[in-house]
Amino acid sequence: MDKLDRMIWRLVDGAILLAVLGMVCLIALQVGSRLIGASVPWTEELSRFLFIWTVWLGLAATFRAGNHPALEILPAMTSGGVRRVLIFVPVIATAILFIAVTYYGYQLMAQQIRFGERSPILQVGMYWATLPLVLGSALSIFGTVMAALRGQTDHNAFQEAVAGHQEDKK
Amino acid sequence: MSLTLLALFFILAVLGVPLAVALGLSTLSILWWFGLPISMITQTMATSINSFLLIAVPLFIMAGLIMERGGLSERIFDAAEALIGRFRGGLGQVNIASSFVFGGISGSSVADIASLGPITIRSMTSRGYPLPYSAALTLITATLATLVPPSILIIIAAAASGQSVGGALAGGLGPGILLALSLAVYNYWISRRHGYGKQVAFDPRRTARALMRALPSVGAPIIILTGMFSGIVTPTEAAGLAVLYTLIVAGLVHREIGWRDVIQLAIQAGRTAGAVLLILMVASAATYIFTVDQLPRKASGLLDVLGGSGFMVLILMGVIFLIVGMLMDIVAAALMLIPVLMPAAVQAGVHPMHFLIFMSASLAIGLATPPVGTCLFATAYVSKLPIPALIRAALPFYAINIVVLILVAAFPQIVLWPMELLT
Repeated sequence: MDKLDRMIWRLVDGAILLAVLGMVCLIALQVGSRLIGASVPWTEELSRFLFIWTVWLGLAATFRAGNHPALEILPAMTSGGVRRVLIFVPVIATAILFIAVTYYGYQLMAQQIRFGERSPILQVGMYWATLPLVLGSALSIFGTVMAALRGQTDHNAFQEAVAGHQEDKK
Repeated sequence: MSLTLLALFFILAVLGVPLAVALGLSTLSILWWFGLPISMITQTMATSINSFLLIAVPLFIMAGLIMERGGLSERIFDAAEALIGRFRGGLGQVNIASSFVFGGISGSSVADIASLGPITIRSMTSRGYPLPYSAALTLITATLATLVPPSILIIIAAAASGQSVGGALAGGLGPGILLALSLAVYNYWISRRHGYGKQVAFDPRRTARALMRALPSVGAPIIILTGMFSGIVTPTEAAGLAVLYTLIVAGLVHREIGWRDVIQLAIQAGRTAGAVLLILMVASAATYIFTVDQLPRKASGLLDVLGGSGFMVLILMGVIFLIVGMLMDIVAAALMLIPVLMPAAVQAGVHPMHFLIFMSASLAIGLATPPVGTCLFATAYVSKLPIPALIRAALPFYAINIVVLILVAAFPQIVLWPMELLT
C-alpha cells in the first residue's frame, strides 16, 4: 500500500510539473508569436487545458500533504478520545464531497464522449477537460484517507530527491 | 437556504474540516435537501476554472517562489539597505520598500515573510531596533503584497466578480502606496523619538555595488508592470513572462537555482494554486445557491433599511470584512462575500472596483491578526517571538492600517485614479 501511495503521488507530481512548465512555454510562445505578427491560435486553449489539469492534480496532492487551509483551533484544544474522533471528521467530509463530485463528473464526461463534444480550436474531445476533474476528485479521496492513515507528507517526492542530493554533495 | 448553508459551513469549519471542503459539502447538502440538481456542483466547479485569466495564479505563485529561492528578494533588500538604511529609522523604511517591491512580483504575503522576514528582522535588531518592533513592522509590511499588483487575491476576486483583472490590479496600487507611506511616516516618527537605528557612514562603493547586484531583480517588477499596464501583454501573459524572467535571473545571472529547484518549485506552485482554486470552485457552487435564494437582493434590502451613503455602506461592510478576514482564509472570505455584498454596494452607488479593492485591503489585515492570521504565525516563527508579544507590538500598525482603510473608503479616487491612469 505504501509503495502504491508513493508511486501514485510521484506520478501526480510529475504531471503537475509537465503541466506548469507547459503553461509557461505556451504563454511565452503566445507572446512571442504575437510580437512577430504571426500569432498561434491554439496556445490559449491548450494552456487552459493544462491549467485545469494543474489545479485538480495540485489540489489532490495538497490533500495528501494535509495542507488545505482549515481552522485547527478545536482539534488543537482537545485531546485523547475526542481528538481521535475529530481527526476523522474532515476525512469523512472530504470523502462525501468528492464521491459526489467524482460521480457527477464521470456522468458529465460520459455525456461529452457520447455527444462527441469537441473543443473549438484544437478539436480534441471536451472530455480531456473533464477527465482531470474526475481523476483529481477521486485522488483527493485517496489522498485524504492516506494522510489520515499514514500521516501527512508535507513535502513532495522531488523535495526528498533534492534533500538527498544535497546530502550527497556534503 | 443561504443561512442554513452558512451555518452548516461554520459548524464544519469549526470541527476542523478544510474550509474549501466545508463550503463544498454545505453546498452539496443544500442542493440535496432542497431538491435542486446535485450535478450543479460539478458543473459550476468545472466552468469556474475554465478561464485563461486564472492561469496567472499558479504562474505568479511560481515567480514569487523563484524570487525567494533564487536570491532576488535578498538583493532587493541589500540595495534598499545600501541606499536608505544608514539614516535614523532607515532600516524600517528599507523593510517597507523591499516588501513593496517584492509584492510587486510575488503577490503573496506569506512568501514575503518567509523570504525577506529573517533578513530584515536580523538586520534591524543588529542596528538597535527592538525585536518586537522589527517583527511587527515586518508582519504589517508583508500585507502590502496583497494590495500591490500582481496580488493573487485581487486577481481571483476580479475574475470571480467579472471585473477587469488588469484594472483591479492597478486599483490596488493607490491603497498600497498610501499604506506604505503611512507606515513610513510612523516609522520615521517613532525611530526619531526612541532613537531606533544606529546611523552608519555612507559607503558609495558598497552602495553602487549593491545597486548593480540588485538591478536584474528590481527590473522584474518594472518589466512586468509596464508590460501589463501598457497593454502589450495580458495579466496572464505578464505572469508567464515573470516566471521566465525570474528563472533567467536566478538561474543564469545569480546561478543560485538549478534544474532540481525548478522542478520542485513548479510542483509547489501547482499544488498551492490547486488549493487556492479549490476554494474558488466551491465558492462558485455556493454562489449558485445564494443567487437562487436571492441573497444579494436581501442584503441590499437590509442596507436600504439602514440607509446611508456609499461611504457609510463601505464602512459598515468594512467591519464585516475585518471580522471575517480575522476568522477565515482571505480568498475564501472574498469569494463568499463578493456575491452577497457587491450588488448591494453597487446599488448604494459604490464603484465595483472601489468595492473590490476596499474589500481586499480590509481582508488583508486578517493575515496579520489572531486567531488564524497566516502572516502572524509565519512572523512569530521566523522572529522566535511569542505571539502575544508580537500582537502587542503590532497594535499601532493595526491602527494605521484601519486609518488607511477609512481613507480608502472615503476617497474612491485613491483606487480609481491610478486605475484610470494605468488602464
